[in-house]
Amino acid sequence: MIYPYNYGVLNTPYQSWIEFGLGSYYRYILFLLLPIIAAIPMADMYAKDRQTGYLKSILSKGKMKEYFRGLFMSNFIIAAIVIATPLLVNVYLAFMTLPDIKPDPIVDLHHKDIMSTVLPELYYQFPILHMMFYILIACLFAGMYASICLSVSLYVNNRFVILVSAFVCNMGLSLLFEFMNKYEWIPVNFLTEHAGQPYPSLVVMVAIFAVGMIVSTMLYTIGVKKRVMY
Amino acid sequence: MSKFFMRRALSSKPLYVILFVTIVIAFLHIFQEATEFENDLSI
Repeated sequence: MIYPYNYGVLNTPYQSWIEFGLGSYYRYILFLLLPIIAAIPMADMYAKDRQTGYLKSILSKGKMKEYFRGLFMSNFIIAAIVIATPLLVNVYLAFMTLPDIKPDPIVDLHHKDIMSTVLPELYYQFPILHMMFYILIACLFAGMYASICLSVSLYVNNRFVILVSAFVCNMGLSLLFEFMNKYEWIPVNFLTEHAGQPYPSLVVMVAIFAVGMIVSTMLYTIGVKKRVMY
Repeated sequence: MSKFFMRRALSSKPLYVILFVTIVIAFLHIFQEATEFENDLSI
């Protein structure tokens, strides 16, 4: 006999929140549009300041270093907040509506739903910490995408191009990785807790984040030195 | 200067529009999951 309690095994907050569901369109929409969502609040601020002439008044006060440093940091933080808020709301709502049953590897094996995630031991021991870990990763990647858009804004005047630049880069690289059969390298796949691909790797995640940050920081620094100072 | 930018970002409309849209997506996702759970219980 199946007790009603057992029905909840597959509908726990840990397996139903937005980063988990395999067949959820909402998850796909959120993570596909992550580069644009991250860029919208602040990435075009430099372009706006340049177009309105506000930048000239700041530069005339001799606060150029502070301006560009503050802009880069604030852009990263705001992008992280923008993506963390809906994810945290989703976690809260999941705990409010679904039964809090800890995931079990034997039950998952029985349902042929074996976790393909980084740090699976953490997922089965402390699932909420694992959720927070994935929220942190999403925040870091949102910051990285926003930084890429901000550095593009030093070279391009069109605000629309600035806002979609990281999205276009992301799509181009995703297509390239797909042709190479490297599905675990595609950000839409590895940014989610359980996307179904065979071997998500922490090293790949860290490497892609590091490369994105280094490239965007370099573009930003070179852009400030060559296009603003001279 | 960081505080200045944070204040500017927090007073901009696009930030609140995008927050609203993403929170609605998060809500719709949980609504779908909760409906599925309720349907499973009623079988």
